[in-house]
This record gives sequence, structure tokens and C-alpha cells, in this order.
Amino acid sequence: MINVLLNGESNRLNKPETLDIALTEWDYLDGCYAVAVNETFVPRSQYHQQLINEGDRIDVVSPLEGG
Amino acid sequence: MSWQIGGKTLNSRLFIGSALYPSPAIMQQAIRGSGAEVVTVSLRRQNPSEGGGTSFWQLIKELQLNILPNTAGCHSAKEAITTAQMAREIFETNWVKLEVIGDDYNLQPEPFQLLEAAEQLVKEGFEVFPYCTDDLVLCQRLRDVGCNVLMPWAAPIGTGKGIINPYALTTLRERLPDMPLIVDAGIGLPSHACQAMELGFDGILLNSAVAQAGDPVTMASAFAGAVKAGRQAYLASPMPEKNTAAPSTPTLGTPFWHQGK
Repeated sequence: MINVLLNGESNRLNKPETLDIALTEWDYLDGCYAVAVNETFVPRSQYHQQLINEGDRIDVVSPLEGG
Repeated sequence: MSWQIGGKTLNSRLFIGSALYPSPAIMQQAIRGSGAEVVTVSLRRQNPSEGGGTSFWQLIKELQLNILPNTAGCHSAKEAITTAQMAREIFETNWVKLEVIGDDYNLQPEPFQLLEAAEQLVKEGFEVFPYCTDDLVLCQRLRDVGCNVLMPWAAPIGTGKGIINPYALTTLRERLPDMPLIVDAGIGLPSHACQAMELGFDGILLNSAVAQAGDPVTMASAFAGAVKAGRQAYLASPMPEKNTAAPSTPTLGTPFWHQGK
């Protein structure tokens, strides 16, 4: 079991996973989001190579209103 | 009359935000009523159960406008750069309204981090629209690192105070005559927008002034007219201001006139 911060809140994975698998486990199914791991942008094309490790901070963002 | 900005041709000089409207439907109507061709959006953390921003994004896409994603809420160059990179992927645009806040009381841009982020994003191929203060030297430095447009504030975000330092904005216009300048933030009334356009600014970006009006749709239309009027006035070269009165009606032949009156 590894502990991570997903959008600022504690979350877990059974074991270190690649980002694409982790996002599926967290129910991010549609494509309208972008991701940063430890405040570094991860392009969608890199999800399958980006390993999520203990203590990682993952931000998943989507479009919202803005000025 | 059309104009060029960020590699695109626009007809409207009004940019509008998508936040703070009473409802999504009013947001759409107001944005349409403004005639704006550029709309600002943001990125925020979303959980899958919240819909992932899909419904909002669908409403914006229906408008078929140019998207200007912002980096609102970022306090460092690093945060702003990462947010811009995420925005480019989601919105499929290299435009970014670069915001790096330095003080949470007046939401004043952090000039040093802003400059650092702008330089990096330009290198990465972004068309950077930096939200900045009206500081001349900062604006010159932003130009020097490759910004093709600058967005100085009229007043702090959301205050609606209008142009609090006309001297600074006038100086910017005079010292950066070829740089597209868009007044961003602090506009509260159509007359404020008109004043900025009369000073020779190239456009206006606003949000709260429309969204928080009692009737956002009508106010959006009012701003559209004000921006056009201000632009026309600037192009028409306003008369010089004078300290002494000068009658507009001919004095020759004035009835009842007599010497010594």
C-alpha cells in the first residue's frame, strides 16, 4: 500500500502504479482533465510511463469558469 | 475594423471572463451579448464525482470563441508554468493569460515571478498574455522576454474602481506605442472601458463588471458599445483640453452686445 495526495487529500494505491492505471482506479474516465505530479505537468502521452510512488502529490484539473 | 492579436484576427476588442454569473444560461447570453471573441477560463482541481468540468466546458465550446486560459491563483513561476502547460493540453491553445499573484489582499501581480514565468513560457512556444501592473519598467521587461501583448490592470481585480492611475497607463501607451495593450482588471463601468480605449489601449478584458451587474446581459451590450465608442474616439483624435473657455457659437454679430459689457 502506498500513500499519496490526490488533489490535496490523502489517498492510496495498493502498490506503485503507472499514472494511467492510477487515474482509472480513481475513476477519472473521461478525457477532460490534465495532470501534474509533484507540481510537474505530465503530458497525456506519458501517463503509461509515469510511476506513482509513495508520497507523490497528484493534481488533476479540469476546465472551470475564470476571469 | 478587424485587428490582430496573438496570431489571430478579431473584430471585437472586448475580452470577457466566464466567472461569477448568476447562472450558466446567463453566462452564455452575456458573453454572446458582449460580442467578445475571446473568453477566459481556468483550471481547477475536480473530482470525478463532480463531473470533471465537462458541463462547463461544453457550454463554453458552444460559444465557438477563442479560449484564453488563465493561471489564476498561482503564486510562483513554477505553479504558473505547470498550470499553463496543463491548460495547453486541455484547451488545445498556446494562449495563456499569465497570472502570478504576489499579494492576496489586492491580488497584485508578483512582478519577478511573472517575468520568470513569461520568459520560460515564451521559450516553450506559448503566446503569453501577462496580467501585470501598470509599472512601465516591468512592462518593458515583459516585452524584452518575448511577450507580444501586455495586460496592465486598471485597478485590482474585482474592485470596479476604473483607472486609478491614468498617468501610468498613458505613459505605457506613449512608451510602448507598437505593443498591443489590453487593460485587464478593475473595470467597473462602461465609461471606464471607454476611457481606456480613448487613451489608445487596444482592448479591454473584464469579468466582474458584467457578471455581477444586476442585468449581466444588458451590461455586456453596454460594454460592447463603450469599447467601440472609445476606440472610435481615439482614432478620431480628440480635441486638446484647454484651461480657458472658448465659445463654440460665433461671437460676431451677437445681439444686444455692446462695448464694455
